[in-house]
This record gives sequence, C-alpha cells and structure tokens, in this order.
Amino acid sequence: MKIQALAVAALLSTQVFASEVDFDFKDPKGVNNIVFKLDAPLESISGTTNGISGIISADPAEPEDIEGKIIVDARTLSVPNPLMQEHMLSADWLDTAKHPEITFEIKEVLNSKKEGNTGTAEVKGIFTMKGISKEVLVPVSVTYLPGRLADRTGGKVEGDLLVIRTNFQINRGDYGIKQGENLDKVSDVIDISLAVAGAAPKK
Amino acid sequence: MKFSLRTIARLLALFILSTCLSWWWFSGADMGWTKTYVTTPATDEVTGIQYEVRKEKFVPGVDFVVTGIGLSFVIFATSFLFSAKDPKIQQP
Repeated sequence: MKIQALAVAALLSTQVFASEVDFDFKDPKGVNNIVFKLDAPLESISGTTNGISGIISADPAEPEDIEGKIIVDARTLSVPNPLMQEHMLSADWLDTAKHPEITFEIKEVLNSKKEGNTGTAEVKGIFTMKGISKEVLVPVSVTYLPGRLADRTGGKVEGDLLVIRTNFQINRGDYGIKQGENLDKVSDVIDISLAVAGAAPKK
Repeated sequence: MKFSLRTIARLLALFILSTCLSWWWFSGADMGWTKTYVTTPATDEVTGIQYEVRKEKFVPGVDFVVTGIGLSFVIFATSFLFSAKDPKIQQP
C-alpha cells in the first residue's frame, strides 16, 4: 500500500514538473512588439506592430521546448510615413484586406540549450504571409519568469511569464510581395525582430 | 499699393518655397521621408523587452521639401501667363 502511494506521488510530481503551461501572448500593455526593417536608398524603412496574439505552450522546466502559434494582425503594421503605410497595406504589397494575418507556427525545436531560466534553440516553423506559407528556421531565446505576472499587473493577477525573442530574415519575394520588382527602391530582404511576453495566470 | 497678378503669383511662390524650406530646416532638416509620428525607445522593467513609445508628431522630410519646391516652381511658371502690369493702370 505504502509503495503504491509512493509510486502515485512520484508519478504526480513527474507530471507536475513535466506539464506544459499555455502562455497567452495578447498583451494589453502594448509592450509586445515586432520591428521590421527593409533597406531603401533614402533611408531604411522601419516599422512596428503591437497587434500580436497567440498561445505558446511551454514546460517551465524546459522553457525552450515551445510549441504553438504567434499571430500578427497585418492591419496593425505601421511605418511613420502615411503614404508608405497606405502602399504597404494595399493589394500590391501585403493585401491586408484579403490576408489580415501573418502567422508563425512552431513545428520543431532543435539544438535546445538551457542556462538558468533561459533557454535557446533553433525553431523550425511555418511562416505565413499574404497567404503563402514557407518553412523557416529561426534562432529563439526563451526566458521563463515564474511568479512575475503579478509585477506586470500591479498585483491583480498571479502567474508566470514567458519571454520569447528572435531575430530573423525573410525575402518578401518568397511571399508574393512584388517578387523581383522595386528592388532599386526597397530591398527584398526583411529583417524581423520579435520580443514578446506571454502570460499564464494561475488558475 | 497695388500688385499685378504676376507679382502676386511670384510672391505666393516665394512664400511657399520659404515656408517649406524653413519648416523643414527648423524641424531638424530630416533627410528621410516625412513622418507623422516619432518613436522613443523604452524598456519594460519586468520582462526586459525593449519597445518603442509612439508620439504623434509631424516631421517634414525630403519629399515635403521637393513637393514645396515643385509647387512654388509651378506657381512661378504660371506667373508668366499673367500681364506684368496692373490691368487697371493700363488706361488709354
């Protein structure tokens, strides 16, 4: 009887430590952001968005082993020049009326390493923009911040935070955005920097 | 003191040109595109995430200056269509 109880306790504790937690990346504070940059002759075009959502599951013991999807509302992408903004969202470029979402879905985590509460890995995923999906491999840094959600919500909500950072490049031509066109005006390569924090409130 | 239409058009062209150039110059002579907002970097204390705080501000860029120069040039060129003398003065 005693052995059975011990076995159950051991199994439960293993499940507790190995259980995955869902982190919600919708951020009412507006801190979560993606910055994108394209080289251009007059000055590089730099824009940003806070329209980020999505759920990522992570095991707090192995925070780098993540799975889930990050969704960006393409209509919230903005650049400081209003005419450029209009062109960027138009049917010729991102066509946000037809394709309002840009997504990144995690498929596989490779070469993961852990140091303290931060882990790094290469994440293979499906990046979808303007309705075209491509497999990409991106370097990711994941930091697990246990019990820090309360600090962000002024003590209103208890829970954990998961911070994900990554920098990677894509070619706009690969996603049907003026492929081979306007290369003298704006580069094909888009530099993307993502820094987001997901929240897992305690139930 | 009366001005002919030609003079008025040229004064208008000069006004537009000087306004555009001085607005651009005193706004920091930005050599990039015109912007309707500027950003300042900030860091979230809890997560350490760096983000940009947006502030609505009109910053005229090179395209603003080029538009001003172009408009003043068109007005200046149009001034040649008008007579140099005030029609009221041209009495027989």
